[in-house]
Amino acid sequence: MNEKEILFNIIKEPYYCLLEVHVHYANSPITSKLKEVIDKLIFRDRVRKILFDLSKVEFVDSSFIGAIVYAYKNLLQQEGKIAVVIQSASVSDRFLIAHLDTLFKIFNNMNEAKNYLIEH
Amino acid sequence: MSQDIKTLPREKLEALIRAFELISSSFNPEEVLKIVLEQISKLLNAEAGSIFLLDERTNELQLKYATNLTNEEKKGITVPLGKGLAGYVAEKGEILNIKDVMEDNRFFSQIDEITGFKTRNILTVPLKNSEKIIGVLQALNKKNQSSFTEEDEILSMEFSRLVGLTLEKIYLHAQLLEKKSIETDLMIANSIQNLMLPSSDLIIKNTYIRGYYKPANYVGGDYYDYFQVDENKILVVLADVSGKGAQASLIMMSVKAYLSSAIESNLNFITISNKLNKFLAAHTPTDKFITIFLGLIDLQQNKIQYINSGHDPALIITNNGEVIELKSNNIVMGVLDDFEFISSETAFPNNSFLFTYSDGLTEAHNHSNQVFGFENLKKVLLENKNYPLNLFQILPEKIFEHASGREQFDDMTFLIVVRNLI
Repeated sequence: MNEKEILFNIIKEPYYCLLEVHVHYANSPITSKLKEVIDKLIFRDRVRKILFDLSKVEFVDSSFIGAIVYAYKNLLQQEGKIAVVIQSASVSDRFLIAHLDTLFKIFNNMNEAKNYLIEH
Repeated sequence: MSQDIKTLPREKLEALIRAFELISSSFNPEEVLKIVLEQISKLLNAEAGSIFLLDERTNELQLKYATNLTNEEKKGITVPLGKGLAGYVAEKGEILNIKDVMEDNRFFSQIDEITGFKTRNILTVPLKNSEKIIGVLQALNKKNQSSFTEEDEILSMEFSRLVGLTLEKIYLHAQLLEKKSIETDLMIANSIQNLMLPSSDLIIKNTYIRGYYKPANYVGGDYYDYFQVDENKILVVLADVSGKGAQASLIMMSVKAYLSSAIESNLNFITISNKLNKFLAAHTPTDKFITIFLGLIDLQQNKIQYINSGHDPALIITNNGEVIELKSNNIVMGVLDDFEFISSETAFPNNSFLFTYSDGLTEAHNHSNQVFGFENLKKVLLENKNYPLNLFQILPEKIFEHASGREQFDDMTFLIVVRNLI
């Protein structure tokens, strides 16, 4: 089932939900919308695994990273998990400096990320 | 003015202007609506009048004022959108002039049954605010005549338009007052937050410490501080709460309060970090985290022990141009409550300075979305390696020059510790 959101594309796969972020510049206004989507997926649709596709994102601010942490923390409580796909080196640096790779997996390859969520 | 209004006789136009002057005399919406009710009856020579306002949540019209009803009687009288004459007008946005209500099955007779008032004819006009229907005005029973005329229709439509404009002005005025009140609160919050920052520079054993802070809004989520731990040791802190604004500033204040009390309790450096992290994990919203640089400078042994919790690298710049990066060695604070923090140690020689900053500096954007950047920052620091205190003027200038007038979108903070330089 495909469900179009304004800035995001949500694709519900059998083992996980793919949340594609379709912006280059992910800052506070995008963050509040992303949190609404995350809330719907976790609390309304009972999704337990979310794959964030940030391949198109070239800048993230701390509030946006906070929204990903928000998804991680809420899913952790429900024995769920997240994974993130990043292509931009500067975006990847932001996650790595914060050591968030110790909380969840960060990939630069979509297939590897999908396989990880299917297998774990 | 529309073509129709020009057809009104002079005395009607004058009455309309007087009515407008009266409804414009107040900024209280309740008072204005009461005047509107009096004036609609007077202007149209009607026996009674009523005002219904639309409740957008329930899509029902609520009877707000009626000349022929007591407060008790009008309480709870509602008309669904699309039902009755009032509901029809509110839905369609068109005037409705019913010359004999008995011949119109949309007439809602409930109010007549409650009051004993006998409605013969009724003129209903939509009440709009910026083209959005917010309710309806009704004039009931034309005095001395069989029904309301075409002239009454023009007059009531024009009056309704003026009422809409008046209400819009009132709502804008209320918003302005609310905005001013919020701004006043934020200015107070800004002055309180400034009190949380060090009130003066710290000078100890040829070491000079000063900070710079410029929030993007009235209040921000960055924080810098310094504490003299003993005669040879100084603790410096620079932290950045994710997001910005009031929520981030409140978290920042709690970090300040926590650190101040922990340092007074002579807690060990690592213990302070572990406890602060646990505290933040328990008491901050799920989407918030803190990046923080904590440096314990030993002036006697010329070294710095540091915890960099997810923060951009602090830099030590020596006077011969060497750059030492004190990179992130721990996860951000406030996410994992049982995380055990580790510290690293490096030399902090004389004739060098420590520079720690928030990402608002390196991520300052210009209109082409180019960031100021880490390399640019290092270049400016090296250019001023012998006179680092000049950075308090030069660095903000360089950043604002790069931004070329683009609005500052993140808090900008830095802290400099200078050792034995000129």
